[in-house]
Amino acid sequence: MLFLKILAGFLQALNAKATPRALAGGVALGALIGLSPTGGVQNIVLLLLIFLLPVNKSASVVSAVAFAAIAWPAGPIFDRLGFTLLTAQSLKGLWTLLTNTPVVPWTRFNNTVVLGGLATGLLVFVPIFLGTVWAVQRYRERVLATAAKWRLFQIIRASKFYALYETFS
Amino acid sequence: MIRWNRFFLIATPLVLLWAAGHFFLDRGLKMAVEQFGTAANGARVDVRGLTTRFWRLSLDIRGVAVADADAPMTNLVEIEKIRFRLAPKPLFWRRFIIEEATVTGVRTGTARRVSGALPHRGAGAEKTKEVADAAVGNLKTAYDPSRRISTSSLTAYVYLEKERARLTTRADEWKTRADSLDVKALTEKTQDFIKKIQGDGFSGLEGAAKAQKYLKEAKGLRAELKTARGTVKDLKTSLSNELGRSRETLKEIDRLRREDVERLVGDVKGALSAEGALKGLLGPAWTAKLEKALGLFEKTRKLSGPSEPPPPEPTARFPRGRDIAFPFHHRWPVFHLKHAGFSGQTPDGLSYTGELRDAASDPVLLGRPAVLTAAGSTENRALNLKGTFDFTTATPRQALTGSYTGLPLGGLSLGHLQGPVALTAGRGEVRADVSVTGDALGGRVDLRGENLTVNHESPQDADRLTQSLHAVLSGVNKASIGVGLGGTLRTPRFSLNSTLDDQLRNALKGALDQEVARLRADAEKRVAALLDKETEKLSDLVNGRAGDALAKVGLGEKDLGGLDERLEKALRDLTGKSGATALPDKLQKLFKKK
Repeated sequence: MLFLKILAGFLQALNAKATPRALAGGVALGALIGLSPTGGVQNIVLLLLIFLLPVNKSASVVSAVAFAAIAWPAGPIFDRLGFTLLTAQSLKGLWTLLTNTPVVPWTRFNNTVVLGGLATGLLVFVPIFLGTVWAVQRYRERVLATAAKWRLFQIIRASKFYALYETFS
Repeated sequence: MIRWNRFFLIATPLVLLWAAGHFFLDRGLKMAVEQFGTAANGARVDVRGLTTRFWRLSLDIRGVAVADADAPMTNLVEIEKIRFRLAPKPLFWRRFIIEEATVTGVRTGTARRVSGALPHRGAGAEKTKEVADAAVGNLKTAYDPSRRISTSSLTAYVYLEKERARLTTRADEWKTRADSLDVKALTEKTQDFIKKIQGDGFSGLEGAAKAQKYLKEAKGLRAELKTARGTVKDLKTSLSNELGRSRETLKEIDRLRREDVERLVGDVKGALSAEGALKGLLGPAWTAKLEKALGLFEKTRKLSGPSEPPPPEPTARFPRGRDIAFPFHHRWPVFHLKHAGFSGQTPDGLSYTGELRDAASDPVLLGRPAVLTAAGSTENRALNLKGTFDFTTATPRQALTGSYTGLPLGGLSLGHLQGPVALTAGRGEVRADVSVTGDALGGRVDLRGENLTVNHESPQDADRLTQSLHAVLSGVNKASIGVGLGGTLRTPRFSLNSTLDDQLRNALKGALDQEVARLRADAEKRVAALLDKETEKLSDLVNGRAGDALAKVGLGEKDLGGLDERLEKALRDLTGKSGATALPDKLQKLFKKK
């Protein structure tokens, strides 16, 4: 039920309530959390950022769940990527410095899966942000206007989920 | 002006974090301790309460009960309270250094109100129990022929089963081959020819020509007879050979059967020897205790052993991944228990205190071995224990030396000899010196008991052997038992010796022969019941079929026998009648033996 509420809130924000940039920020930060499901203290920092920055919270939760679902089967890839980064000679100085820096070890950056997930998340952060802004704009311009006429949309409007969605309006 | 909106945005996650810590951290940690403990122990680990104090960096665990996996209604260890105090600075680097720990109220072997067994124990545990039951169980029951002898355990029966199909097929072949032999027609044809010659008249040139014709016909018959005789001879030889081989098979079954009985009697003799009785009486109890103790060595090795370097090639291990280590400027292992003081009571009420120093997750980095000491004494009892767990070098070494004098032995259960055997009174002294260097296990554990009273619940109708053992055990008032350790941790070897050996040997001397003879008779009876009928059937089949076939071949041979001579005689007569001078030479040639 809680997740349905969050999903309804996300759809409400997607359709009109939030700005495309707020939605994109929420999705991108949620993706970072979702891609490092076994991560450490960095996830708490990301959570704080979600609360502090003007981003859409529902979008963050939905995005975190969706990216965590993707991250699970991608584990071996993260492991390989993390291993490559952690064993690269050129980066050894950086990792040693981080190991000896207080608090940083709590991020568990020296774990292959955590670093692989975090690196992937950072790599896709900007593309996700920009892609989401573009997609939300296109969605509102093209899809939302014509979707009201679709039979599927009319069926959804008759469902309980839509009633829940309406409560967020 | 305060921007309340922004204030709440910052405050909300902080309040949520505090609430989560306050309401759920202790509960979560308690569950984690119970779950990890249970998984490591193989039986339930219960914790009554757990409290973390964030500002003091301390953790209190109350009422820890670790169930014994082998006796789920008993606790392996029960601890009243454990308090850990963490060093603050290393925490910034995710290092858990416990400056001081106090463990109070340690007791072992306490009773549980609820079973500590896990719902699904592995097949290995069941197998262990089965083996232990068999070992502790009554020797003679364990070696009962009706239990030990089955069709699958008898080599003779297995061989018989294998040969049965082959011999049956072969016997059928003999019948077919004998049936296919038909010499009657040829015999009759030859006899008719002889009669014809003998009854015919030969005179003049016409008679000579007729004689020539008969001679030609006789040549053909002779060739046919020769072929038939060869066939009969071959068949007879072949049948005799195969029959011989089949009888060898029957003999082999008999030999294997005798071997089976000897093997079984050998096993029984071994088990009923003085050494066997001692092993049956003391072995399982001591072996189980020592194996449990050795298991602790292995556990400490797993917990404190040097961490292995990561594999050169990444392998998929989601979701955990692998931690790669980098140079660290402090000599802090991830976990280090600097000092823990503990106090408790043995199951027989002896209070002791002890300490554990330098238990660490990375002993090589720390450079010091973990040392455990414990001591306690009363007027007539004393306990001293010292354990060193050194994983700082490439070859790990664990050593444990200890002694316990004045150990009350009353209530100590031993094995089972047609009834349970236990010590009801007595005091003892245990001395142990055990070490594991690398994989090699060595050392000794000695128990010396005095003022002993052995209770053996022997049944009324006990046999002579049990009565003898009962008499020996009732007279024992002091004994020493030594267990030598060898082999490796994974495959330990125990050598048991005791002063009971001689007493048991003398008592068993007379009873043993009688018992072994009775068991031999039982074994033979059981083997006979399983094998005799089957062997007889097979023997009947082989002998019956072979007899029939050979009789048939014999008849054929008899029929053919003498026909050659009669044919020769008839032809000689023919030459006399015809008066042809050239014929005898030809006849000579025809019947000339090669």
